Amino acid sequence: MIRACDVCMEDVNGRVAQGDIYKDIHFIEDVSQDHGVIEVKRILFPYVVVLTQDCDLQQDFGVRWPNPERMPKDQDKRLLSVLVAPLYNAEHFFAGTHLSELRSDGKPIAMQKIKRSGTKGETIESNDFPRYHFLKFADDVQLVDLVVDFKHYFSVNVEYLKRVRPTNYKCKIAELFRENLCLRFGNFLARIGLPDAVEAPSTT
Amino acid sequence: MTDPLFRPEYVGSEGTEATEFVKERPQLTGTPPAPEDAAKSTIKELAKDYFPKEPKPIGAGDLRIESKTYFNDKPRYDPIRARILPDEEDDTSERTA
Repeated sequence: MIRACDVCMEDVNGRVAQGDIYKDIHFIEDVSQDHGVIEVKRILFPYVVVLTQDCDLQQDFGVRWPNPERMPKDQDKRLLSVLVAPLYNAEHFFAGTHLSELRSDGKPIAMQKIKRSGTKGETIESNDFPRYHFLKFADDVQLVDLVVDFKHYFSVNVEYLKRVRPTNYKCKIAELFRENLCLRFGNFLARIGLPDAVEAPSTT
Repeated sequence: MTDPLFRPEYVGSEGTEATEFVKERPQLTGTPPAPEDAAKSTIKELAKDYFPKEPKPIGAGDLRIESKTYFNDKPRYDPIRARILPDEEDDTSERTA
């Protein structure tokens, strides 16, 4: 099934917006200090998509970079961070190697290998699997098929994103497709975790 | 009652539009080609458009799909290590002492 994902290249007043795709975004995993040496552990994600509500981002922009004619009374609408999710190359994702350059206990992180033409692969491609969101772009967009893993969302600083925007902003997912992505993300977060099925105690 | 869809001005009478059209047609000379040959020549002409002998130069537009494969990066570690420098105040106090 082909799922077109319309993308518009226009900038929205230079502000960070929901559905924006950025390249080369750092996630700060940990900051430690030992014997006068500070180490900042960072993970560089090739592509991320912004998930924070667009109205929140708009209000935050108005507070941080206010219009001199309409200065805000307070900082009530200020955000602490922006929620993003990494975008993985679908080929890497289905091969289970999309995190192979990260390590856990000294070994490369191996993810589940999924047969693309199998039932699960087809379910993912048709966006019927709650954890993942599959994005297929039109031919005029130089992005391969991408997969969002909703479990891997993280937050980044608003001003960091604004600062790297001139060089790292790639494109923006069109409104309808953006709404679909964010609604599915919201549904994933709102799911109810149920315990594994246990056998009912015998009454006899 | 007149039918509103009936427009008599578009109905040509004999000896007007139809006759003029026939007069303008070029007169065919010689033997017409056999229907099979005619069909072949048409196919050949069509094939020229679709299968040119010389390959078309590849334009930027043709490379779009191919260029989608360029994205081969994966998330990777990119740490920063930095030594903490002593504060200026401490440095001064040391020198004073």
